[in-house]
Amino acid sequence: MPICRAIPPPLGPDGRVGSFAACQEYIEGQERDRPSHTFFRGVVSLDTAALEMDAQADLSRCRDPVCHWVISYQSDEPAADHMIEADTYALLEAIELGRHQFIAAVHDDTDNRHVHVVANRVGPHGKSAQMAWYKYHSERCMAGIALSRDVPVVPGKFNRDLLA
Amino acid sequence: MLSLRADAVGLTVSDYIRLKIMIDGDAPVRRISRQRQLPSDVAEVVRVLSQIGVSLQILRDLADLDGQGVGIPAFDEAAALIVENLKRLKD
Repeated sequence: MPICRAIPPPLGPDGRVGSFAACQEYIEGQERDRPSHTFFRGVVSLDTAALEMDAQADLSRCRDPVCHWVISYQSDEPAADHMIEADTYALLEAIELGRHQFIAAVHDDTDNRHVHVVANRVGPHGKSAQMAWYKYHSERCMAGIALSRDVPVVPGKFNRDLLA
Repeated sequence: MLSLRADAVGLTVSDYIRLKIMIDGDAPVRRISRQRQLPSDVAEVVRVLSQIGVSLQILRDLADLDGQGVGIPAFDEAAALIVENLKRLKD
């Protein structure tokens, strides 16, 4: 099944938190690990995504609005671009970032196809998402995806009841 | 316990730990503001342009539901103009 993790986003050039630009630069990678597919929501283009997310985050007093997640797939697991997109939307919905801005970059530079997601914690109405119980919801979301695709569920702390 | 504390201040656990352990000189990082905050008038302009651009993209997708591509260049031109203006604000 796909697994997901929240990864601390990189700090900005001054060592400060909440830099969408730094996180975007990180997920877009270096020359050797450029993403094979990118997609986004709530922003006009990748070139201006960091600026747009900064402007939205300014509506809130949220100190660090940058959420960085990775969804990783096993090497023998189906992971087409459209499936990854659907899984990303499902994950964000599960952790209360359903209508928030995000950019995502799919990487094929390792054995496991994976997608980096940078989402804005500040939503369309200028409120910061609480993301309560995000580990619980994200793990169960991934297990649900695995069950719907008939691939094995990786046992975790919160999905025992979903295991056959 | 840690997750309860993080929830109480509205942060994820990883953010909470990072704020607790990272220091900048003698000052905890939590006292430091975000990397970039835009002037309020610029932020307002960016938000408006962004919303118009996103709405245009949604309209474009709706218009192209049948895959004919009718009228798409007009949407693309308008979106490109918005991106150009946003880039100018970025610089």
